[in-house]
Amino acid sequence: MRWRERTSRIVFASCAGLVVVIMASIIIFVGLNAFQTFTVYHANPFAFYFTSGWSPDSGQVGSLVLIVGSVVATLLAVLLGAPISVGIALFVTEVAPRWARQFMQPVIELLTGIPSIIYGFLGLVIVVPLIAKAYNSFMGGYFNTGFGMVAAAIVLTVMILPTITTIAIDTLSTLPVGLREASLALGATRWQTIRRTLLPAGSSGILTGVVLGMGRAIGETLAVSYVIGSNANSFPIKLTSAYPYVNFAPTSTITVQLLFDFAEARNPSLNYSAIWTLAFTLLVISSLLVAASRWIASRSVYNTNANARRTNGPPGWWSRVVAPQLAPLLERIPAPLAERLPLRRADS
Amino acid sequence: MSVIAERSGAQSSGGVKRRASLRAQARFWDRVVTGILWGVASGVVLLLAFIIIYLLAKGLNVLSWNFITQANVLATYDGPEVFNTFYIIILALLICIPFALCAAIYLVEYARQSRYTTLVRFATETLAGVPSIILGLFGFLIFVTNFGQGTRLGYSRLAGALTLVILNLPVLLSVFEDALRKVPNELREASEALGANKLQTVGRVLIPTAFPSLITGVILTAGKMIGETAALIYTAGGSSSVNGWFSLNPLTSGDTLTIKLYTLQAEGITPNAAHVAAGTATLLIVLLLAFNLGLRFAANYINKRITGTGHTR
Repeated sequence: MRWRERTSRIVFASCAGLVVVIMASIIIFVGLNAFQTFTVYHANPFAFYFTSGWSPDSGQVGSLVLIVGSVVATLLAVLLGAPISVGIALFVTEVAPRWARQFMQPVIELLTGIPSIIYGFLGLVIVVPLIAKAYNSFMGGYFNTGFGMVAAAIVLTVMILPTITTIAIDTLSTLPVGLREASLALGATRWQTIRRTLLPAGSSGILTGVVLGMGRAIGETLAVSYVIGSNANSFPIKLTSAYPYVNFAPTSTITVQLLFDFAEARNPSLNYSAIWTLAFTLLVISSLLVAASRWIASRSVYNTNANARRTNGPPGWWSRVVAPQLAPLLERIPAPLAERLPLRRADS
Repeated sequence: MSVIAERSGAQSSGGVKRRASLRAQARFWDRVVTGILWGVASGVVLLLAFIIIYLLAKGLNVLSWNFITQANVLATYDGPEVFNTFYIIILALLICIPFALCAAIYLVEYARQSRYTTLVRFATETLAGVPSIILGLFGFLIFVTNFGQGTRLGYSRLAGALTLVILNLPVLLSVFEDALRKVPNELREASEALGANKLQTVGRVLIPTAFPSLITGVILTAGKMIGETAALIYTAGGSSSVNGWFSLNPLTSGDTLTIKLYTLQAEGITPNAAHVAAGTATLLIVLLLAFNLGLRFAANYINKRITGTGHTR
């Protein structure tokens, strides 16, 4: 009986270890291929990340357009999507009568379940022609196909809605009831309660959702590939004029170029290695977003977020290694701003 | 008392009026925001309704028994894709469930908070955040080819399923973990008081009690797998053979419904591709709706069968 206990324990533990092995091998193998761009093909890392001009077949690897494309698409999607998501979450937790709440739950679940390729397909047959039509009738003169950053941002906005909404609902519904009651007892209206009490109290949970939504947006491939037009040499935004504006021309992102270029890349070639370098860059960005979401969740005053509940506080590596480095920076944030950010626990 | 009296005395009827107008203002904004929130929520409901109705209207006339079950050279039928979708999902689940369940049991029942569990949790969360296109390329590297050279499994259903396992292991693990954590501690204590050891407690008490939640998690994951594309394009292959698709051989290449939808748009060698694409998209959404309704039904049914009441969960 003893040996069975012991073997089963070892089996269970090694199954848990499998996740670590997988994650480590992803980092190692993607990384090994990625660094060949710089070690075997002697591409200049600075030129890789800070110049534009992506045509790896002819030895030109400047990924600035792609990186800017990914970042702009993500930011636009979050700017549009986060307020709507928080609105839905507030509706579900604060405003909705019982029947509406029960109705919204499957709606959000279904939106989560719709595959990204369907969103891409709908973007292709609905959003892209709509943008082309709107642009050509309002701006006139210049023919626009509708493919580009605007279509990608709209599709991504819809795609990250359920992610942010679910986490925001989770956060708001687990806030202590006393907060709500106290505010209402002071004579505040529902909107005053939401604005002055619930949103500040739930800010770190909501922000966790927003960051996870960003992670989803930056890693999204198929939906974006359908509507962005994949021109790796045209910037999605123009910064040269008096104010920045979004370009309507086709552009591209990291994920789209991974998808399209990988089919044509032969194994030992600069093209092949450059794609892996892009993949590794994306891996690093998305891991940083996950780490950021964990950090924000761990700073939560009410520990409402499901992630935070599981581990109770920041992971060890964070408090030992990273937090001491960040502490002096955090001190320099002006006090009025710092009060509004979920940067510090209430007790510290 | 006197202070309050003085104050309210000092504030003449003008103060009362001002307070009243502030309240009116607050009530006004409260109503405006309530209206906006109702508007946002109904907008989302309308959006979902539009998506479903649009897809059904566009592709329902394409669907036929032949479309779902047959294959032809022109790839205007979806038979192989339907078969492969389910084949790959079932294969992936068969591989994924044991590992995820064992890992969850370890984290919930055996492990104390240690450096090892921190590492496992950290890896799980990071893996859950890795974009699926990167996992697709990783699957190509590890499963399809021998680290980028030659062939290991080739473009195959097995390689696709293994990539899906990597993609869904963290999700399934955390769902299982939550399910096991929800089992009340009294059951564990009662089982051990009866003299059962840990393994017996897990096998005869915990898993049966948590079974409804475990099944819900599995079906949720399967629903996610139906829609997965990016991880499969470079692992499962972009086409199915017309004659050899109806086999259980995991090493044949096979595209799923989502990959077909992708290749229809990207390569465009199929005659009236838009027609077939509309049909495929509709088929996907119908499958997902069926899955979602089935999930609710199954969860209720199993709950009733196992707990006898239906109100726990």
